[in-house]
Amino acid sequence: MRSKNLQQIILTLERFWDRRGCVLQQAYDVEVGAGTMAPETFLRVLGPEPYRVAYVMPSRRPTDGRYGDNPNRVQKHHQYQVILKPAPADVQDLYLESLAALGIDLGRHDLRFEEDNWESPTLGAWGVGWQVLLDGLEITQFTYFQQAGGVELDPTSAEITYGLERIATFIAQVDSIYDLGWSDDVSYRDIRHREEVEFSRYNFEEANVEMLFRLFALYEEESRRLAAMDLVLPAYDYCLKCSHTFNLLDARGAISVTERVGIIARVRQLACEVARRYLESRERQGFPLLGRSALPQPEPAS
Amino acid sequence: MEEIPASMIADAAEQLAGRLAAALLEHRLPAGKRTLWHTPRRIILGLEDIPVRQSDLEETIMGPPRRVAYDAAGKPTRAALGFAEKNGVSLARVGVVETPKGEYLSLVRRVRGEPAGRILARLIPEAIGSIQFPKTMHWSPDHFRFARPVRWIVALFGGRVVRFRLADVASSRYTSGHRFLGRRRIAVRSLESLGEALQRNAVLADPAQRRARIEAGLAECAARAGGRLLEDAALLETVVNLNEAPSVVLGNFEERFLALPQEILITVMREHQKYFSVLDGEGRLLPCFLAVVNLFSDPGGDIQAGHERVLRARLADAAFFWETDRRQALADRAPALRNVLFQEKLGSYDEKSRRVLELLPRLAEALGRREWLADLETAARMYKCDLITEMVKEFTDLQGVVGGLYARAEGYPETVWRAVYEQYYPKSTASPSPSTGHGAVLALADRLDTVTGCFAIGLVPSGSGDPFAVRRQGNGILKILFDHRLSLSLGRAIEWSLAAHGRVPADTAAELGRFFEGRLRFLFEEMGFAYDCVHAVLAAGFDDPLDALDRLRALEEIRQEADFLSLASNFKRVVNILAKAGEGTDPAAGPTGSEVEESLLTETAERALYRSFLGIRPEVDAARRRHDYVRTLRLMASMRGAVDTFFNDVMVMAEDPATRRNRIALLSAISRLFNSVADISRIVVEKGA
Repeated sequence: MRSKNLQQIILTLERFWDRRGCVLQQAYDVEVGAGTMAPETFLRVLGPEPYRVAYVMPSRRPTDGRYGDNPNRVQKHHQYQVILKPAPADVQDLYLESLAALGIDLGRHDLRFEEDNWESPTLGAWGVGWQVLLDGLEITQFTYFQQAGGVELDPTSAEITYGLERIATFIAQVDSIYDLGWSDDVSYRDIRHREEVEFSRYNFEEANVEMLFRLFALYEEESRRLAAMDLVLPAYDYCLKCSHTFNLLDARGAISVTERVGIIARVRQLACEVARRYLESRERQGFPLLGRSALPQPEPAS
Repeated sequence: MEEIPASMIADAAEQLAGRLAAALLEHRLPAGKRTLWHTPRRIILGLEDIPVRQSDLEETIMGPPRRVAYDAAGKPTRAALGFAEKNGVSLARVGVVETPKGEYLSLVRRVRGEPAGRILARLIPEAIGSIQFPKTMHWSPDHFRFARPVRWIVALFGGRVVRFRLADVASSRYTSGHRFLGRRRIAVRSLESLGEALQRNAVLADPAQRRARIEAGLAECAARAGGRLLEDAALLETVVNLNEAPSVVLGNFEERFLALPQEILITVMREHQKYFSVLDGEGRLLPCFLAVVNLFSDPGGDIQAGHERVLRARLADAAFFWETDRRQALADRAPALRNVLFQEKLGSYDEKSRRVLELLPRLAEALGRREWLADLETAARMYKCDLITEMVKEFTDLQGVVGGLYARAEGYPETVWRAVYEQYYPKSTASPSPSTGHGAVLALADRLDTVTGCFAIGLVPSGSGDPFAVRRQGNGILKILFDHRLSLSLGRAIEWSLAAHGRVPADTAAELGRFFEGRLRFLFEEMGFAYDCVHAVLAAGFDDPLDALDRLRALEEIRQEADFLSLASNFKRVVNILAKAGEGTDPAAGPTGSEVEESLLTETAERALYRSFLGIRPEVDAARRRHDYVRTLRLMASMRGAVDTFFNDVMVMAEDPATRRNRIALLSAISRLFNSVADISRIVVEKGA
């Protein structure tokens, strides 16, 4: 197996999905907990328009921070997110081909699709699918979206979320993500370790709880106000900000279990409102991408 | 299909086989031998000897009455002609049948059977569509629902394709092999050829074959590691349904991790990685694991190395939790339980712990275990604290166990740490209760609090709805009382527990009484007791469930004895007479009947009965006090002769009111004595017994 560093893995996936008709997007510039939350997934899966997109998404989960001490857990990791809408019949094969493109010889490894149904109470979204295990390591979350923002989805989109650090450690056969090569000369540790230390300290110890609660209320109000004006995309940004603020408060231990359910419901309300209005807005625009059936024309890998 | 969840596939296969066989029978196409195989990616159903064509059917079509069909001259009317014409036959083929309503025209028509292939083309997709899954999805334009997408369908009858479309898939004769080891397009001619072709393409279609292969592999690898397999039937079932080409890989982990408690190591391996554990001769864990993988071999050892790396990371996490959690004493976490919600209306786990602490002294007192109270309170102050440890956040299945392990590591005595460790025991009616007396009392208090609390706020189980698993908790309470032979007044325990909840609706205690009656009935029948004995015993009261169990065992033991059966059947008469006389037979109603006046007993038989009653009464009372219910019931059965003679010779409803009242008083006294054990009039006496 040819060993690849992290950015080579990203490049390989970019090339692979480019050939299969995906729009190659860039990471979204608001903090999110997962690639699913970026508008290119959460909003694009709504409604009848076909779409194929792929992008890297840095994903922040403040409670997973370990001050840079844990070899696998970090408060920010990178997902490679692919949305295929509608889900093609050979979607599992496409995914497996992408692993082969990364140099993983599936005849010599134990690859399995194990039941794992994804659900996000904050987004009012769920789907069914699998976690993909490679020699026991979860490398991908594979989901057929059934609902987003409380809206039933038709057609069904397939979402492939690669855990980039996981795949990279598998390929490089290293025990710690900090030992990964980011490029040939610069390691993951060089680039990210200090960030983990500082953000762990911020997330767990220094984040200003009172300010965060205030911000949450402000963001929430702003999202509602913007949604009411049909400024759907900005409204969604503020919904995402609420979600991240909630995650920070959670990491600070500032939210009791009782409050938790209520706050999640508030964010979900924003998300559902945005989803509903986004769909209406696309409809008013005449679902512009609807005619582009040429969009997803897979090409055989060369 | 794409991979169907391991927990669903076997049931789905059974459903498909059952529905298709039933539908075929309904269509006069009985099938012979059945073959049913399944893997995560396919359900294979073979039905042999299906007739090629439905049998023909004779159908009788009724026409108009004969008197309308023919006129006085015997000539056919328009009604007769119309009937023949409508059915496309000449009048000559129309006959006449006699019915209760008179004579009618009728026509017997042969309906030719349809070819089976054509019917199968309808029934197979219907049967596939009728499979129920706990969770389904849609993916195709026709919104067909299934657990995961269906990508190919092979349907053959007599070697020919049965053609239909389902979920955007056309049936064909082409199947697909193992994802990585098999060909993608394999033509199928017959069931036998399918089995062989799949095997050549690295798919063991028959789950029994996969199971045998896995079991052999596990035993072989465990022996190679120098130990024996820790059996795990549920995990075995899972891995059988998770792989098409299973084999077992033996991997190792570093010995330093053996410093972690065995329970944690086993859980990490089983829950997160689906690995089996290996034990040495003394039952200690060996530093290795067995992974069932979906390839027939691991030539380069890559798979083993991969699994070892993953487990190392998992165990490093667990070791980290084990170290960091213990930096804070378990009991010191108690204040933080205020932030952990037990139930919205029942408050936090801190509040729950307080209620349990309030209940414990009364329970200990009632159970005669006041000397346990200090240890029980120590345990109760920290028994929920593991909910906020990192270890339980990561391995929720280990709640209780982790708290117990931390308490042990902190040096608490076994009476304390084991009570914490086993607080969730019994997990079902089939699994063990807490092993220690202290553990039993704590588990009892915890469950009483949950059950009474749920009833107090209206979270009452109904039908299939039981969100807080209150029924299971109720079963747990009773099972603990039985297993530890604890005699306790449920009524008072409920009262104390409700008191700890503060204000509750007035009828809560009564509702709980009915609930526990239902649980007892369920448990007793699950234990294999006959339903009539259960009825009889419960009718005599169940405030002390253990006592009810003892009475039930005694009743079951002597119910087949001739004297007892005869007495039981006579006792129905006693109950009827008393009911007619307006005398309640409810033991709880107490001694409402008037006293028996010996001087008014005139007939020999009634005097004999009374003497017999007086004769056994002191012994019955003594036996009952000893809870020796077999003896009690035998003593009662010894009255059989006197009761028989009484009913033969004596007219209870005598004309003289004083005599009548006295006889009823006698029966009533006897009935009350008996009813303290069981209402034996409810025993079903089979004819000829």
